[in-house]
Amino acid sequence: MSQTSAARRTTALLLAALIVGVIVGYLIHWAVTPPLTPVAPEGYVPRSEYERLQRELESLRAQLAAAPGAKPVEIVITAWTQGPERESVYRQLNLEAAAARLNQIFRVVGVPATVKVEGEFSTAGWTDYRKKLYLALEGGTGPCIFLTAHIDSAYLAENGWIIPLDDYIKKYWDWTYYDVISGLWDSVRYKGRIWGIPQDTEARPIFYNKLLLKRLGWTDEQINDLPNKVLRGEFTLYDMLSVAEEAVKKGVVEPGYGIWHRPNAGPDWPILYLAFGGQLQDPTTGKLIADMKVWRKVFEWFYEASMARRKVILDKLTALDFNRDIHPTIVAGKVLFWMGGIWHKGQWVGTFGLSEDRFWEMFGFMLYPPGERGGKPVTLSQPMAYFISKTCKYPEVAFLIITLATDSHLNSIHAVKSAHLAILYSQLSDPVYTEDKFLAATGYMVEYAKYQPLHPRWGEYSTTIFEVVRGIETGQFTVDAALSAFRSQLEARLGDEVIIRE
Amino acid sequence: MRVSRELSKKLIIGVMLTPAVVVAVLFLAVPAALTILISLTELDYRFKWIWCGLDNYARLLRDPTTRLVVQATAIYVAGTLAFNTLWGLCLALLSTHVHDALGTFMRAAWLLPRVLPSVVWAMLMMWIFSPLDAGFLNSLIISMGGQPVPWTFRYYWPFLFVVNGFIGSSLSAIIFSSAIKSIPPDYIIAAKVDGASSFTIITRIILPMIKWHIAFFVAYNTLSLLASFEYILLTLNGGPGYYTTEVMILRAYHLAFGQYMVAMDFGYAATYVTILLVVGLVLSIAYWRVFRLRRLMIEPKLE
Repeated sequence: MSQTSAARRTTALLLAALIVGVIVGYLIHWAVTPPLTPVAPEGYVPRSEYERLQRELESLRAQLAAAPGAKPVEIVITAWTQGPERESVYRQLNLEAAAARLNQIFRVVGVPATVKVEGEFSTAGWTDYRKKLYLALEGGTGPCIFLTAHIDSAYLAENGWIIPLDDYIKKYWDWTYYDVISGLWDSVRYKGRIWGIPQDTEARPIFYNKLLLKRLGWTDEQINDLPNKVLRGEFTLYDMLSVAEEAVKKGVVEPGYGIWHRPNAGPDWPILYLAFGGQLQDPTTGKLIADMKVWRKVFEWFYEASMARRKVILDKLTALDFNRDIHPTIVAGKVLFWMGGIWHKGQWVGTFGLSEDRFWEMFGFMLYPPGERGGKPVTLSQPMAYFISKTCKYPEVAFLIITLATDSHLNSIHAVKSAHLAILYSQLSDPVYTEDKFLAATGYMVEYAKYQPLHPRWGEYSTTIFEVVRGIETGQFTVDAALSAFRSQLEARLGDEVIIRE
Repeated sequence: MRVSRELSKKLIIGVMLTPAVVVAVLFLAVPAALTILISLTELDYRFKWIWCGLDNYARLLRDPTTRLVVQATAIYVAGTLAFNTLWGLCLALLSTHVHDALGTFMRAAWLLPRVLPSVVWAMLMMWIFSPLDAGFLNSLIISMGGQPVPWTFRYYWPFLFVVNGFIGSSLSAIIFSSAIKSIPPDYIIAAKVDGASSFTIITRIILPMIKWHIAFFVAYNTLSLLASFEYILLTLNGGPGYYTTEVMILRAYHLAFGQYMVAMDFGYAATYVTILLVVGLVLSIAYWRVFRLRRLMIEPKLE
């Protein structure tokens, strides 16, 4: 009983001391501080100032509304963008978001105009999209803004279908363009002018299946060190071939499931040539180059990998379909090495039912190893860019929309959803972007990335590589036959636009 | 008076023919002439008509792939034609030898591939004949304990004959079966009374009596096959190897609108089309002569 009363007394005492302390402290503070003067802190805008600005805005609106012919104008900007993977729909959505931002500004100021982005995001194949785009541009019915790969700059500029953007970029430099990762401008520069605004970029790594490597007897350390070994030049394309061959021999993968690549023509085909140290374009004349010594090495590698030799690359591979056959097989974990692109991770998670955790458990990724020991690893980037067509009635409005879409937040959303890399320095610290473990882990690859040459006939060169490799893999060509077919095809298709080096 | 009647008769015929002639000139002769003209230019991604004479034809002769492309065309046209004709004949004979209702049902069922959209048909066939284990036929074979067959990969020509032929043979089956049905039954009954076997009836009576229809179908189908490429494009697209199934018209398509980054080599593509045009014309004349198709058109000597 006495114990509780003692405790009560102590509590009351402490409370009284606290109250007295607070009062004393306040009195001291009151005594010490000088009387308040009505001086506004720095940066403070008094209410009256807001009210004055509001009045000015109202009068501006009234003036705009009273101006002759001030009927509300709707500016329609047509825009075509392309995936083909549906995860890249933000290429279109971001333009729409930019138009919404522009409209918000217009509404506040009372500008009697609205901007509307019309058009569509295409998930057709690249050839179909390009065909439709080119014919529309030639027919004068093309869209105002369109997205396509940076390499098309040469083609589009040569045909006079697009306008150069240098002046606009200078004009709006401080808005956002100072922030564009500087190397990307080279990807859209053709004959000294800039023709497009980079929208995203990527790297094309080789994914390797960690679970299969483990079954091959690799330790976790060895598996995780593989990308570094590639960087140090200690793991070459032939080492990769040997690992895949071992996996086939030991039954870890089925014959032909050691190394897979894309089944059709596309941007990937020159990468091995680059890994063996080849050069694709002559910097002085701008002509394409085919160094036959390097191509021999490339074709020898493919021949070694084919079913005729080491049974690493499936002979039927080029008869398969990306979505029907290839992605499901890789996601099912049946292929050891996949020469892919970083956005495939986005597709696997978004469309092919691979969970994020399973991805990290199953896949590692590395640069393309050098062809020879001590060489430099390599990858290829193909930035996408927005272009403005010559027939666009409001090129500056179109450019403003692109400018507003070139935004750290909007681009980061696109990058994360579709697994593409940043184009703005500020994205590298954007919380949406930095939270993505995969983009952080692949970002370094851009430093090793090369571009395809900007040349209007590059597509024919690239297609020829694919056709010849397909011939080797299906058992039609030996290395010598492949080389002579390759040479005669290049000569027939490109004439003097290609320099053939023996 | 007589002259003017003659004249007015000709005039009426002329007026009656005008719409057909206008349509033929506008939609057949003009495009053909344009194609020939384009083949004499360097028309490419720059969309400029630069005359270059016969350069494209010289290039065609130098092009190492020309031989492969011509060879593929010959195999494709001959193979598909044979398949269409023989399979159509088989179907016609079968469907006219069974009960009428069943025969009609058979012919109707064979029309299904023709009414399906080509893309759907091509996708179905690619799935059925997929060279992978997951294909329809292969999964059947595997479930019965067999070895999977690399269908489209190894047997690409038979595959294409089937993909095209299942569509083409429905037409020939209808033409042939209606021809068979128009044979007066007396002949067949008389032959049966004389103790002729079914085989004899087919080879001695039916085939000789429908030879005109067969001749017409062969001529018509050859020409349409020369210009058909959509099912190759939708399935093998010139593969599986190096120009293995790339026929001339597909090559023209690839040169003009296909390939990675779209080649847009219109001048060179038109060269292939022009050659096909000439081949088609020559073949029409040849068929006209060889099959004596004129006799099909002249008025019967007695009614």
